[in-house]
Amino acid sequence: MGKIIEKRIIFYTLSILLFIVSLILIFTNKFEKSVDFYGGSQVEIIIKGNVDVLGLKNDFKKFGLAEVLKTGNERYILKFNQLSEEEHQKFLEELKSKYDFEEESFTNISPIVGRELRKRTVSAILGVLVMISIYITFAFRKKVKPISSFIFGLATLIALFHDVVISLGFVSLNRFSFDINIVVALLTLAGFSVHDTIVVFDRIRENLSLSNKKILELKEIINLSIKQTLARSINTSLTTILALIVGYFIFGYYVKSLILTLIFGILIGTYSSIFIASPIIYEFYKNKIKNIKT
Amino acid sequence: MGKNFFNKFQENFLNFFIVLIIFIILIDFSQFFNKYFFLPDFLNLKFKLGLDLAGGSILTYSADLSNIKSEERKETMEILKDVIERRVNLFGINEPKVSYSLTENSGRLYVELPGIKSPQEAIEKIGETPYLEFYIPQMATDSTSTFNFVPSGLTGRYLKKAQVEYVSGLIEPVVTLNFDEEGAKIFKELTQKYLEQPIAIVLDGQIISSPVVKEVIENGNAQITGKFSLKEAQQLARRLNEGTLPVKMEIFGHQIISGSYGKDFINLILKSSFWVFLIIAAFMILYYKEGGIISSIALFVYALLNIFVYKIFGVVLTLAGIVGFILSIGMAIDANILILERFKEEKKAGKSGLNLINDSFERAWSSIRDSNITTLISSIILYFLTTSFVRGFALTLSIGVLISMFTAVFFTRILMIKVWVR
Repeated sequence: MGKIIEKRIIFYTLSILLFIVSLILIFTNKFEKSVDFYGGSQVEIIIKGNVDVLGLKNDFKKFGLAEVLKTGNERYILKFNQLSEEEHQKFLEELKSKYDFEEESFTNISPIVGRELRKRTVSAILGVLVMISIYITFAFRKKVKPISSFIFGLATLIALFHDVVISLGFVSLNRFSFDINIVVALLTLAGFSVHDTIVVFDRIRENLSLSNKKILELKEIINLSIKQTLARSINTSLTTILALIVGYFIFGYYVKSLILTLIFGILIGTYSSIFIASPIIYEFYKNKIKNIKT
Repeated sequence: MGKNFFNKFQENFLNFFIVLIIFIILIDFSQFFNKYFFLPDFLNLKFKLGLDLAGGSILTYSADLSNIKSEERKETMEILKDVIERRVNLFGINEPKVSYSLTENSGRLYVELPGIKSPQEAIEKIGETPYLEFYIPQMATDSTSTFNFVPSGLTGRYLKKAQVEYVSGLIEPVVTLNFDEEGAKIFKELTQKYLEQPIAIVLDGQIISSPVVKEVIENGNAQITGKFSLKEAQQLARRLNEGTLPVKMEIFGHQIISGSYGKDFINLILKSSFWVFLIIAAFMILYYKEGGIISSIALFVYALLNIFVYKIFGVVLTLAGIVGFILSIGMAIDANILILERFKEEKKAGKSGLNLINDSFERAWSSIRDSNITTLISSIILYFLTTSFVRGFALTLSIGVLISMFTAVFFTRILMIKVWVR
């Protein structure tokens, strides 16, 4: 475990591969379009007994029924182009004559609201990444010679971007509907995955202040810092994941994508703070070390 | 935080805290205690469940603000909110809520109707709220001598009162509009400017009459002479008196939640937090032994305090909010892990007693603080991103972060000093 900087090429390769695969997934797999972001109407429903999905779709075509998704045992999501409340009631009445069902929720969102939320979401995610990085730059502003606090911020930003994109790849791979719950997961995991990074950076800063030779030993200092903080990086993530697993068993039925994306994101975040964020710091200073040596 | 302060404070703090904890437990589990002995109302607090758990409808409206100056938009939405609130209150629904948000060129109005599963009637009644405007003539730009009517800026917003009257020379009743001071001033200016020209009275986008201005009207009274029957005139006057919209508004979407899965959510909140606590406590005690026991006590107090805050401040709990709480339990223990790991190191370095504890806390503090702040940054941005139920997630997570600063740092420290130093 002590030679992470030496082996960093392996981790870079792994991360770049994951990153590229995620990007390919995101752009080819396409996300399930949710009413949150694209508007339209959606009925969440429990239909008892056997359901012939194709027949159902044909029977209710006149209401603009576009899609029927089975989301669980007897649980379905029916997507419509747009239903007013009047049409919605007519639809329920007609459905009643053919199926034994219980409606859990009905959502009708204007495409304009969806478009607005889409725009705001992109800026919210980018905003969180940038603000956290700025905060790290600010928090590490003193006593970190020779490392500029700007480099701490930049390494944070790269690691966060890495975590969010790969988590999005996970969402796409699982074909989760890209709805507001996924945004909750992405924003939260950005806020959380930086915790381990903070702990390692804090230790690098502390070890630098204890060391006399500083820059020549940077490689050893980073390796040592990672090693010293490994137990707490793993334990802090582990307890949070344990909590989420319990949450999954109790609430997973309703918010499966939110909890699974969070768990995955926290794992990726822990990995990136150890194997990506810290080596990036080294990357910025290795040439300086060469200059001192020659 | 100074060391002396702690040494003095912790003496009495723990005794005081035990009394406080008993009180908190009483509030947290008031429903349970109430079964065995009668609790007074101020102790028997209930959880406030969001619409997604309790069931009900939410209607979303969009108000056109493109003609309103940006500094007046907030005020316009306030007026709109008041009008709709008055209307909704007539329905006799328990605790309806009207709120709004502003977007680029429009405002969004949200009407929450708890317990209403078929909101068609509510939609219709709200839709009846009239939008009254006065249009002024504008010559067509091409050479033809026709003209169009365009909005004048005088709307139902300035209306004080509407009433049905009969005037001499007319068989049908007229509806008299009585403007407020500001409205009267605008109306006077309009009648001055467009003397001998028609001004149109427009209701919900339809011109209902376009009389030619015969004289400058200073008293702020206008008359609508349509071909009303008495009943129609009375209905129009009533609608206008019940409140007119300050801007045009249309329904943009609605949501109905059956709340069928909310029935036993109270139990699920308590059950899930209990299991999360138990599993994390088991891990902490196995890994950190005595330190794990102390952290677990602090974590237990953390969970109790959160539930206490939800009840005392009436935090609206949504499904996402409960997940946020569960997540926050897993995060609250992180501060203790950082402290205990540091404790191990400082002990190895030969420190002991009060020094050991104080140094462990002080060295771990900057990481704890920075972690909490980054979580708050993402929670706050999430809170302002959306108006949907997921706001509850940002809310409970933020509350958790703030409470954990107290339990995981302050409270744990006092506990450790109590247990390990004397």
